[in-house]
Amino acid sequence: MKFHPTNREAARVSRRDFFGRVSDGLVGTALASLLSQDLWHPPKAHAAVVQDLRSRRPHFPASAKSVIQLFMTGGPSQVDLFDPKPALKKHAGDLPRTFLDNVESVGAAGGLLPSPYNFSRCGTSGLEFSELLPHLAECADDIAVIRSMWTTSFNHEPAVFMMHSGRTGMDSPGFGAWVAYGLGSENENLPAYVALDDPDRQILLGRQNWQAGFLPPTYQGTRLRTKGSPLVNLHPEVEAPTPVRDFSRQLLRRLAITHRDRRPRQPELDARIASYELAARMQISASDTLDLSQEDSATLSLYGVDNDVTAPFARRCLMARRLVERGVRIVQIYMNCSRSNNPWDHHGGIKDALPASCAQTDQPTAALLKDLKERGLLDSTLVVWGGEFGRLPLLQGRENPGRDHGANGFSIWLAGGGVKGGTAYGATDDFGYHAMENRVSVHDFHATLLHLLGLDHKRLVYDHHGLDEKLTGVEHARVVREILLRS
Amino acid sequence: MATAGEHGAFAQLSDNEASVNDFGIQNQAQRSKSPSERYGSRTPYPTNLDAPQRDDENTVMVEKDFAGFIRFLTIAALYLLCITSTARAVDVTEQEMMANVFLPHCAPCHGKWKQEGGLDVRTRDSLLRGGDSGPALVSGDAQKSLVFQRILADEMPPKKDIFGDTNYVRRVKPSDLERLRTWINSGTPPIHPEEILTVDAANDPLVSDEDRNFWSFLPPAQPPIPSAGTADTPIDSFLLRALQDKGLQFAAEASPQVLVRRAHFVLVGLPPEPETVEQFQDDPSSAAFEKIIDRLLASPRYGERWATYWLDSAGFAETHGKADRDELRRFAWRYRDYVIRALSEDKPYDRFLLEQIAGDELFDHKVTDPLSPEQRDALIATGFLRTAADGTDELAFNFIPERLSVLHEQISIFSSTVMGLTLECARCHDHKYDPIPQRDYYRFSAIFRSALDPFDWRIPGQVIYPPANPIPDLYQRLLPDKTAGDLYVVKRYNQPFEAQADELRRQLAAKENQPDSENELKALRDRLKTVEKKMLRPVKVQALFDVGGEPSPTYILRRGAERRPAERVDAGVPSALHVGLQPYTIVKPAFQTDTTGHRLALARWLIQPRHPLTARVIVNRVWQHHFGVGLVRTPANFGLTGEAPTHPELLDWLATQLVEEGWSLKWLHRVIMTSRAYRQSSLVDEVRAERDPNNTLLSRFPLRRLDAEALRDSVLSVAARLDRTPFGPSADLDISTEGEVAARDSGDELRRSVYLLRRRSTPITLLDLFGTPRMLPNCVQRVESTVPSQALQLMNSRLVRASSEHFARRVLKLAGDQPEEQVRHVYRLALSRQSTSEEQTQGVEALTKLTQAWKAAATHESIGSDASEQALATFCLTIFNSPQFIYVD
Repeated sequence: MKFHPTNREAARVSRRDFFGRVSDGLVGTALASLLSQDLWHPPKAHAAVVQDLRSRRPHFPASAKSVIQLFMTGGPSQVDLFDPKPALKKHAGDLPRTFLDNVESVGAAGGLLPSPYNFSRCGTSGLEFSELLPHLAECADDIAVIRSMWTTSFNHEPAVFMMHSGRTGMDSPGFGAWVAYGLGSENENLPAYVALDDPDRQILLGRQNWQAGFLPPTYQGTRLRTKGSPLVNLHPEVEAPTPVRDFSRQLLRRLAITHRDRRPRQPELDARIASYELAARMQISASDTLDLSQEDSATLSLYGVDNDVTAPFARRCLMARRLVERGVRIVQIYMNCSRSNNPWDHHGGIKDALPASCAQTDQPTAALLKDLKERGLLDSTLVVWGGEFGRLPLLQGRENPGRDHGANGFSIWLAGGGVKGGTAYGATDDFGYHAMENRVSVHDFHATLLHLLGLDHKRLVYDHHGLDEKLTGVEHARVVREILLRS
Repeated sequence: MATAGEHGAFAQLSDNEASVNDFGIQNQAQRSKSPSERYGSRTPYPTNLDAPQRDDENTVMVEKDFAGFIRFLTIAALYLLCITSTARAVDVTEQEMMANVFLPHCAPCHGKWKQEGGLDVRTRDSLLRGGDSGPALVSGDAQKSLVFQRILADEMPPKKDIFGDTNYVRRVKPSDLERLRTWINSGTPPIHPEEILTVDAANDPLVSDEDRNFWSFLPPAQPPIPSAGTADTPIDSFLLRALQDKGLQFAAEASPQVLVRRAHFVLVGLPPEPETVEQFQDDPSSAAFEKIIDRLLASPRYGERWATYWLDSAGFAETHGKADRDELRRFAWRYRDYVIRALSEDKPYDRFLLEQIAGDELFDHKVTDPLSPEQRDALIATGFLRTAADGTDELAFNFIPERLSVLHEQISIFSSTVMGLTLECARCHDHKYDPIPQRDYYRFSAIFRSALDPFDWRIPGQVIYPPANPIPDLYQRLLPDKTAGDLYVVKRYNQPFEAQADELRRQLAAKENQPDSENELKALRDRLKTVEKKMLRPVKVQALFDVGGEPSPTYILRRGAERRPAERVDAGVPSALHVGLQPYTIVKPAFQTDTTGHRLALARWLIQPRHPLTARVIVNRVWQHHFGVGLVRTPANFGLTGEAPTHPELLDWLATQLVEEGWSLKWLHRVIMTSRAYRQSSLVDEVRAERDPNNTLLSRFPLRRLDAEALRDSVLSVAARLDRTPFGPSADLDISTEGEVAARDSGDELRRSVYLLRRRSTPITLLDLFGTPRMLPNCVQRVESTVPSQALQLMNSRLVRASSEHFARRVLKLAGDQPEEQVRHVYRLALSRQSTSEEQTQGVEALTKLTQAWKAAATHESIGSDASEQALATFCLTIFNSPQFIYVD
């Protein structure tokens, strides 16, 4: 890059030159999350890695372009929702002694507890759903349930980390960050990776859910608030009058250009100028995307935005659709926390709290699938639903029956994005305690998600302290091809 | 799938020949790949532990032809049957029994601190010897062995101690119980002598001479200073040759204003006072510059600035992390203060390390009372080794794997910070690149296990001073400090003063309502105040300390899996680090109370003058903070995959000189900052860009952005709202409804960034955006980024907006309402320089236009206050946002 610092015209050219370097052109800037994109990064002598969010080709043709993950913190109970176990009725109250090896709070554990809910076969596929999920049941033929998930930890935090990052510790990048790293972004004015959580409360582990860990911070998820201003400091508390804002922006630009022109050959200064400009554009696009008043009333009521019970989750589901429509690569939705910060953590309340959690989410979730399908987006959007583990088929507590954490076998489901709908894959034992058949580890699950996005989990590596780190770690992981349309 | 009818068989083991064979085959296939192969020739035992035992229930389940649910429940038993049926001599080792049964499940009551029933389970011998009820083990007969019987009958561990609301002991897994049976029935074979490794660093067969002769493993030689005609200082001589080879010279000297600003930001992290700049501009001599450097080094702000870097590398945070509630380490700030004080006082770096590594072993802290200031500092200093995120304060996370992971993180922090090595890579296998065999990781970890013993664990945040009960009981040592009991030292010291104070209070009360006693009352009150001042406030220290007693055995863990112990090792340092060094030698301090001296030996080994890494690593990091990158550009990795030094002789010269200068870091700053290399301009001309594109030759000074702390502190300082109070508990944070985390702003001055609370779960938004590291687990080199969210932060955040208004008021006071004067003062205060005439014109024009814009808005939107004042605040805000403010030439 050649600079002629005193010539104003040349300076403009050189800025374009800079843009040309980091993107596909000044006007398009068709690159990246304006938010987290590192516009200039000192060349790392040691690890020469790509640090931007330019869209990158997948390893092989992808079925899905985007993912919406509905993360159900707390551990939804599989035997009450997706994994019917009639045998529980017959053996209600029995306590298999050997269960105790893995039951932590033995004192509280009672015998086997049958589900109080009825299951029925739905759709043409006959996939079974509990009566707690009437709306979702309507989408049966789009859904593939994996009933044989297992994970390594029965405590929330490590298990949540595991489900996101494939590790139980806090310093590893989550799935979303890996995808942002692997594929970059397709959008112009929005982050590549967005997290939509409860705007009023801290969810379990907060921002650590969407962290980039040892990956460059460029790839971390951006929390967009679903109420008020979507981003921290997107606007000041008290906005200055428009002419003031415009003039001060102009002044800043002039100062920056003067500063830059006196210091030729310092690309970081170009990046700084670009960052001011992109920030300004960000102010417009972020608010616009999350503005649900642009939706028609039929859509709003489809999701349940007009209903107090479903509204919070419905808003996030609808925003997720608007985000993937605009090319956001990964959207994670976390449930709102009415009581604890683990909305699915039903140590008690199988009879009231669990139905309440379902009531908050069932309609919006189903609406998301239907709406995506209607708009022809479901084929390219993978929707994933699940928690960090499931629950034991045992009774916990006496007065208000509940279930303790169960890590040995639980259910999650996937839909769209190349997934074969109407499928139930794998099985737990007769009591829904332990994944027996076609066991799917968290690493397998991640490998499958990456595969659908066109990424080979063995090739998606990052050099961290001399180690080639992978989302799926060092252990064997396999793509669950049985649930794919194209295996 | 099983049918329900079969579940009656749950409780007991079943045999199944088919799976016996399956597992037998799997076993052998696995074994040939196992990492224990390295020791294979010397280990006579076929060890079944090589089978995929990671998690008995989860991984072994592979085949589909499953007869029933029962099978997984009894997998361990099948596994055992397989072992016996293939008639291996010995399958279960003493190590395995120790690591999986006795130490975690029994030792809390029958071990180091308590031998209930006279039983100590920590060695095979003591088990055979037994306790009050007779031998715990009868070799060859599990049924007669009390320990087996008690566990089988579910009497041990006792129900009251089983993990639940208050305790942390788990039941023995049925699979482990079966293996215990096998071990006893096969005659309780002891650990094989060849599995007790003693490593002689000089003759370690796993490390070659070539390994030992790698540049960073050899002591630095004292290189002669090259003669380069035009060089000003030794540093310049070393740099100049490489520059000249490329046909380059040092760049022209930076202007006096640039130099002063540069020196201020690097040493104290704050902009210079305009007067300082002006004085130096009048007399820009070397002597005057040296005076400025000396004054900055003597400033209390220097320790605060450089502590930030050390705390980064130490992974310092004030919460436990891990668990969601992110519990506070209430007294962790004392360690921060210790670092600030140590750096301010220019504590020699060897002493600084010694205290941080082994402060608790320098004197008998458990019986010393009261402590001298030096002793207190030494004790606080070991907070360095308890910085890792650690969720073990929650019972559910206080098990062996979590404890091992804390130990692991702490080792990782230590080795990157002090040694510039990636020792942590050898946890699961030999280091892939460096000559660090897996066993060296475990030998090194054994040094720390005298304090971070996974089988005798202390949760984080424990208060070690004032001393509590030195031998805590099972429950007490798990609970954080909740009682006042540990304040007895303070209480005892205060007793006589308390008595005096009580007496004075009594007299006061008596005189209270009497007429004409004003003077007397005042005198009494003064005396009371004096007495109260003499009383001790409790000084609480949260740090690391040797837990005493014989540390639990350290086994090499196959693939790093805590349930797969192999050879037993002693404490030691990597044997590749050997040439020219006194070996690591443990000398147990002759104290009344027990301490192993493990870490003291480590500290003494590291601070040997000729240690190949210690001085090089710190010299490199100091260099890095001055020049943006180190002479070794991978400051945490001096190993084979790290970068070779760009100027190896300079690195060695600085390292050897540092030792000669008494490990004085202030000496190092002086020698660096007075060099010609340091005083260069940062302008990049075409020739330099072409011949030295990455500035590896230091053909100019690097242009640098203010780092996060300097940026925040400078905004506050320029706005005259920086609270310069040093030391003490950290300032609280607030989280806005939008989610912004910032220091609590109650309208007063705000404290420097180094004194803000470091919560792992909620980093301060501004600092986080501008590169203050998350402690994952630590950071020796910050990543710089240029992202639009930084622009939003500077433009819109409450902190910067409010500071602009403060700044504007400050300027108004100095300049009155003259726009020319205002612009002049803004530049002088914010950028430490005179504005150019172009800037004057531009500034005055901006103020005029901004005033008009505010006025126009005021009529419509009834914005109350003075438009020209608001215009000035907007102008100040723009300056805070400008590259002029956030970059240093």
